[in-house]
Amino acid sequence: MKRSSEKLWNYVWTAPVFLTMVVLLAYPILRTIQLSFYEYNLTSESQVFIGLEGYYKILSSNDFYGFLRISFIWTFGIVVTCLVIALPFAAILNNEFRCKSIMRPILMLPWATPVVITALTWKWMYSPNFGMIDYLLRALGLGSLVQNWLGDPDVALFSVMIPTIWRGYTFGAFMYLAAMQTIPVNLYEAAEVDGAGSINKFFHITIPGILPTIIVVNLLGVMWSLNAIQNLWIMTQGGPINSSTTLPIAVYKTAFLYHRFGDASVYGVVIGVMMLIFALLYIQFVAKKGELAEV
Amino acid sequence: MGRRLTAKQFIFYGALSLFVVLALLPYLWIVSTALKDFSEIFTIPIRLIPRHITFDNFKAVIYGQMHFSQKFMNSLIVTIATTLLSLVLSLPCAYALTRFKMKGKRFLLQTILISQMIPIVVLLIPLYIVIVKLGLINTFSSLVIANLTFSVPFAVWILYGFFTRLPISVEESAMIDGCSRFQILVRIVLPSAMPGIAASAAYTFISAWQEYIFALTFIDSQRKFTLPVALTSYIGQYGTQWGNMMAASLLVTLPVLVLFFGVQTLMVKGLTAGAVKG
Repeated sequence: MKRSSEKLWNYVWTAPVFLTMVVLLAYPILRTIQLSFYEYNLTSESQVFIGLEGYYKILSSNDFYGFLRISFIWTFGIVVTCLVIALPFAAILNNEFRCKSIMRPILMLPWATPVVITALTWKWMYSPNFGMIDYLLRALGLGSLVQNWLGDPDVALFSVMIPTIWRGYTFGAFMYLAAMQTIPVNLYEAAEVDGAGSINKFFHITIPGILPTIIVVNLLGVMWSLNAIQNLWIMTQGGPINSSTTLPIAVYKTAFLYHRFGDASVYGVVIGVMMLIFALLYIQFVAKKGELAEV
Repeated sequence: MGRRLTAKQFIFYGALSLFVVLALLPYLWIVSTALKDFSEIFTIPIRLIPRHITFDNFKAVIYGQMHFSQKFMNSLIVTIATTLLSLVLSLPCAYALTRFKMKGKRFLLQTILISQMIPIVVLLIPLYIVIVKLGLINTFSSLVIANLTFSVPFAVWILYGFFTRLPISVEESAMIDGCSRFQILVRIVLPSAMPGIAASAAYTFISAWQEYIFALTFIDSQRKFTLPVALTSYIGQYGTQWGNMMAASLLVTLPVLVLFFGVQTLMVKGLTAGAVKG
């Protein structure tokens, strides 16, 4: 008798978190799924069941495929660029050099910067005439590269990707660095005996050694970037003419500018499904790495 | 041989300085703009080091129409409430998950892990509807509640990582001496888990401090704006006041940087334990 009451008592400890998750995460998710089958009007609180009509309308519209395409360019553009920058960056930091302890915080600065401030600062840097970017490009003799950074539909999405990458690659870099430091030194020494150069060592020892971390960081990166809306909202609000409207931006605009909560929920469900796939992959890899295996 | 080495070093230091410049450039621009007077901000050629340094922008931000101190207090209230509440909710849970045998533990942990990936916009619509119905629009409580969606799972995850690494033996002997679980948590576990608690508190503080989307959606009244929303709302209004904006940005960023680097070692430990165990 005592044992079972004790066991029940154990669950009480987790109850606050469990309830928070049910009320603040499970309920909203189920409600979004439900709303996607309805036409919802906030002011009259009227809710009309339309079944799959909302899905049909949105999945057969050109807009949707545009947003999907933009989301893919945005997400993979950011993740791939971050990877390409972060790997050599981590490899550099994995060496001993002077002033390393001072360098570390400086190099971490982008990751520590609040997203809103990143967005504001870059918006000002992109500003035509008096912004820093145009000025630097002209000073370097690259004046022909000057663009209407946030105002040109062909350029705006990429212009917002740059600050996102600026802030994002540091996280990966320091994760890779931590992983690199666990690779046994004798592997490198053995390779040196065999006459391997540093490029060779990087591709044949370092990369395979940190591959699990690379996978985990990049799965996280895909999920974070796909979801990221702050930079986009602050810098372009998805414009000009929808050219930087990713799916999450479409949700936000549809719900809070056009007040079409049902349609917005359809977009939301689509993002949710995409995210679920990556989240399951992520769980798979994290579990394999032993984090959850000990449970 | 010697020459090759120097060439190598040249590339090495070249690449390193490139990264340093990249990291610092936006900051140089923020500081430089914040210290310039209005006319110099719009003077060509642009000078990184202002011709004459002025603190007028900071004065304008603090005493001017931005009502910076009011927004600062708003942010502080929401952020501290979020941090305290998520710690109180997460501590017992993280402790129980590491110490008790429970069914569904793995499921709960996986759910906590996945919940950090839920798109905020998916939660936003139902939360907005509920908050409107409860009459909580334009209240700080709405923001604190919404912040829990990301802060609680993250806090549990970080604390879980720290608790797993605390030795159980001390607690066992305390239990033999007749201490209750609660006494053990308060007297033994909490003091030794302080670094983990500080790390998760710092992280929660940082993310709640810069939370933007909930604050943008749930708060209409200017008086109740938090700093991130207040700052962005000035883009249109005072579109040309970049000096003020950059001065305000610095003031918003400073607490974050202090916290971030103050507990950086702790956080790196916590993050690596939680997200990717190397």
